[in-house]
Amino acid sequence: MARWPSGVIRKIRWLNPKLERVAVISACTILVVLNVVVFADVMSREFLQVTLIWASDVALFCFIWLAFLSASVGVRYSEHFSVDVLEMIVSHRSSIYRLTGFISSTVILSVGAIFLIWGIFYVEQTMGRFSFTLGLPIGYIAAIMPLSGGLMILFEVERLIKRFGMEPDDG
Amino acid sequence: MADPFAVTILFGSFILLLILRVPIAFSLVGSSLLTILYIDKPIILIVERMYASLSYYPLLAIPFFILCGYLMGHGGITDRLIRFANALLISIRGGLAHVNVGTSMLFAGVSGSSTADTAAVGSILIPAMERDGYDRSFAVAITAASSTMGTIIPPSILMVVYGALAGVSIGDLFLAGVFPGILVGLLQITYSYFLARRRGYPAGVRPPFAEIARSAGGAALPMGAPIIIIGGIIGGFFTPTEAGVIAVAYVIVLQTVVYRTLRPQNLIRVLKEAMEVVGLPLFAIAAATLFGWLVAFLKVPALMVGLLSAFGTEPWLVLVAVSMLFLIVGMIIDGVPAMIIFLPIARAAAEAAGVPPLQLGIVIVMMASLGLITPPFGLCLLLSARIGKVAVLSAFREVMPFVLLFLAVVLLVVLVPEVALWLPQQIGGQ
Repeated sequence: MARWPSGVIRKIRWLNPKLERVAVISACTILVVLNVVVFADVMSREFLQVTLIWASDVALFCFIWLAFLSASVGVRYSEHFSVDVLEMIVSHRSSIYRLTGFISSTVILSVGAIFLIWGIFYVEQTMGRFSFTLGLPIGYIAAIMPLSGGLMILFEVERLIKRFGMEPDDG
Repeated sequence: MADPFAVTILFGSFILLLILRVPIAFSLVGSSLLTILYIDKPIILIVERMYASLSYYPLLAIPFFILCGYLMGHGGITDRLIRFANALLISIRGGLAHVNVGTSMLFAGVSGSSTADTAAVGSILIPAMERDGYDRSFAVAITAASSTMGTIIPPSILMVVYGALAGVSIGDLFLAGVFPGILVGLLQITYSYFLARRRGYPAGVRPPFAEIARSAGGAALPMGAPIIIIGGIIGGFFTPTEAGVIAVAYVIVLQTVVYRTLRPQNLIRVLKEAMEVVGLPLFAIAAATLFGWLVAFLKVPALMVGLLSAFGTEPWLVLVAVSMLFLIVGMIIDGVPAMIIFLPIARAAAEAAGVPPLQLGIVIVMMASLGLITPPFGLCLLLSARIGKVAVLSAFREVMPFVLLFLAVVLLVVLVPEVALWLPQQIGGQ
């Protein structure tokens, strides 16, 4: 099996847990903000007869960031749902099974790359468009697309290294 | 006219990627990418469509109901519901099986998520059933099967998404799910009773009346949630999406102020667990929206409507055809992505046959719920089998009778729409 340069592997191993921690803390905070904002909107409307017009914008932004951040973290632990019919036919240790794992990683890396590269184009395109009530450039919200693409790539590369034993020689 | 080769690439590569163990959401994006390259459209469409798919307010209900389910599992509400169901049902032969179904019915009334139900109820009742002499595969099967009520008995994530996609009143959908959901539960209890007699599963000791009263008192406040949620929606106090956050707030108040069972450190753990699973269905929805857009762009609905019409133009025949479509699709992908991709096809066929949108909605929601226990991708069955540490295949053998019972209720809703539509006609906006 081809080995990756040990420096790259060490950097990914050092970086990924930290990135995951930041992503998890951010996503949890966003989940709390999402709940608080929508709840505050309902209460304010019903009891104070005041509609928080910014609330739906903030809630949607939180929701989009939460979805893609959480999906990226899911890549690190291989939590995205899959249909494992092959498991019933071939052994986990067979080369076919390992090959499908490699194909799966390739598809995930490709999707990550599309998010990263075309996500940057999309952010540039949408910086001139503004949200309905807050007037915030949509590009700021869309920035989660390239960000999550980058995270997916880093997390999937880490999984590839683990799965295919592409460990550095010097440990 | 649909380009048959492009349609083949889209669906063929999707199935192939699934077989090659690529996660479902990534298979949807991968097959869409290949099709986009073939039809010579810009790749940025992938990013645009997936981003736009989540800029949709009704979908906010999903994180709310998932969080609500996780909160219920950690702060003692599930224990209270189990204790109440136990007091009512344990003395019937096969008592713990009935308690499992009864708890899921009560759980479904607060949470809109079936997987949260499986996780919360299964982790307590599967080991308890095994200790009591039940076959582990049966314990796993009934836990998964009873969880399907989570998305039929209101509130329900699937109904919120269907209502938003199809422009049908979500309040009416919630009401339409009440009787079919209860019917599924009662049939599961009846089947478990006869199975218990055949296999010699035990009955528990009938609790004294004081225990029934105490457990009812303990579960009264959680059981009040459906009244607040459905009453709030019908009364126009909040939208069905907002109902999710009301349910979260209600459960947090109960567990922190009234019962004092949820500590801040537990709350952080629940938030982390809920956050970790929220992104998975949402990413799948974004991918399914992209795939669904290509399905529409390639004019597949027109093609499929022709195929569905081959069953006949009678409303019930069309509903049976739609049910079969969702039965097959539900074996491969999750309910919400399945709806996003195939709802346009089902709606076109149903409109042509004059099927009421509410009836179509409840049938589709029920079939999508059934997909949670049909392999190879039955999420609740997989989750339950993991909790009970049994092979999915042996659990599926035990779940098969529940699938047939469930299909019988769907057929009843198809043939006698009043089973679902009567309640919304009386109370809702129908």
